[in-house]
Amino acid sequence: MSELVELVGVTKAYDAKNLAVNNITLTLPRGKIIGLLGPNGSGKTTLIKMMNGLLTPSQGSIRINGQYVGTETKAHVAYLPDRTYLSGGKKISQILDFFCDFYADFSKEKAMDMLHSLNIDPSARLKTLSKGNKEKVQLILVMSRSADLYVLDEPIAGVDPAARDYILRTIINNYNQNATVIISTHLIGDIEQVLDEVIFMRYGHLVLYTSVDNIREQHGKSVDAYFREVFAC
Amino acid sequence: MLGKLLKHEWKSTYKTGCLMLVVLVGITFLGWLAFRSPMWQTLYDDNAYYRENFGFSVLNLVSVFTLLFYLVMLVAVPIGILAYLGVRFYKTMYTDEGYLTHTLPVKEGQLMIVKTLISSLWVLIIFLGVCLSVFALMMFLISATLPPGYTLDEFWEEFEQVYGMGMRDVVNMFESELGISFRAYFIYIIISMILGAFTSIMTLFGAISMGQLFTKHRVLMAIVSYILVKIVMGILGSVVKGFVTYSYVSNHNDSPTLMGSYLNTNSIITLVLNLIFAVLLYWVSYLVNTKKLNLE
Repeated sequence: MSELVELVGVTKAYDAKNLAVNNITLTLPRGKIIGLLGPNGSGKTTLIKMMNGLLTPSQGSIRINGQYVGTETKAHVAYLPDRTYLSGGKKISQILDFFCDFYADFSKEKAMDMLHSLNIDPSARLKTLSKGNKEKVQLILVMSRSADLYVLDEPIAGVDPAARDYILRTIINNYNQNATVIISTHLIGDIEQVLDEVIFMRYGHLVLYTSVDNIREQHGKSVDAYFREVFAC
Repeated sequence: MLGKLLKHEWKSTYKTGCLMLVVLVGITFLGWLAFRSPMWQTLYDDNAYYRENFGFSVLNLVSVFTLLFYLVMLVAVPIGILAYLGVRFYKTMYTDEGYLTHTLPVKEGQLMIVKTLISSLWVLIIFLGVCLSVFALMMFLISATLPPGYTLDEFWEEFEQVYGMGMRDVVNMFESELGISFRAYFIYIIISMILGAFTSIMTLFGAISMGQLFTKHRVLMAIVSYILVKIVMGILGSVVKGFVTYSYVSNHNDSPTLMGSYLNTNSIITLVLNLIFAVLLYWVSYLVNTKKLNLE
């Protein structure tokens, strides 16, 4: 089975007038790095939250590895949200133990190596770290898993360019080759070189799902340039 | 996974829970200190020495204020642990930390069970701590009002001689007057304490979860839900107990065990009502987490 993610008629309505995600049907394969791109309010984060079971779709269904979103899919999806979801009072080592306990695919050695390479002390409490280092710790936790699907919501927002490079290298070097990585971001130029495919969203609708090569061949443009053309105000 | 969840939930809550227990020990000690004031010894009528030397003093004033502080803290500690557990439930389930909680590969039912078990256990522990503190303070009061060199054992012996009954006789009198076995009543107290802790936690968690059903002002709606749930519980409880009282007044004559039988029935109804409310509110929380989860 090459399909990893299957979305059928997925819709999320916060109220009668506000459709955050509107009837999206999409199938995503394994072994790809996919950019989930769109302007603010296009429904990217809402879609990601539904894939992780944090929001309940108003209509439609989502299947990952052939299973509806639930306990089984959560064991195989590594999710990096667009916010700090760890308790600030905990030490990094305690958080590593927590991940070890709950995720069978989590490698503590891998996490410790990455922390060491970034000079982050595992005995430090999360709240004592800078914003950038907190984001790196969260990314390390996610990328230390051997998951089938990595869902990264704005992984490079709010960090300096050097840190962006490190984060992208971490993603490329650590993801399981049979897995798929979905990266949601506004900073297309920074991640374009790592993407295989892109999904464009606007006002909750799916605008485009194609390969990066296809955009370059058919339109003779980079993804960033093509995005600016499609979403020109 | 249930064991791991229990372990981590306990590790995350034990510090605050223990802090509350330390506060209880601290105020109990203050209570003991307060009874060291000479004022309390004047309560012993036959001791003229203390009565003659009694007067307004800073020490007595401090003693009174210390006891007032003790009473305030005695109420504040159980409210404090409930507030802490409520905030923690809200934070870990419905705010940013909920992003981790709800993406753990565990069943939502297990999350709810663990939160409920650990939180109820803490409420129960704190309640037992409060009871022990009050009991200790009563003992301190008795010993403080005894003349010098007069022990508690001597006090109980004299009590038995003066009133012609010991603790065993008091228990027997309780059983014969009310028609309730003391052991059964004790078991009822234990069960109602456990159930009370469970109900208070489920009321809190249920109201917080109900607040999540709204798209805006979720915290405010949780507080409104809590007040409404409390009102509904109070009204329903009063209505059902009213029916029971009416039925007893109408159908029973002057039976010697009428009061005991009435108390028994009333107690069982309170237990059953609490159980029904707790299960209902647990179901509400479970439903919100499984079917209606919408993290902002």
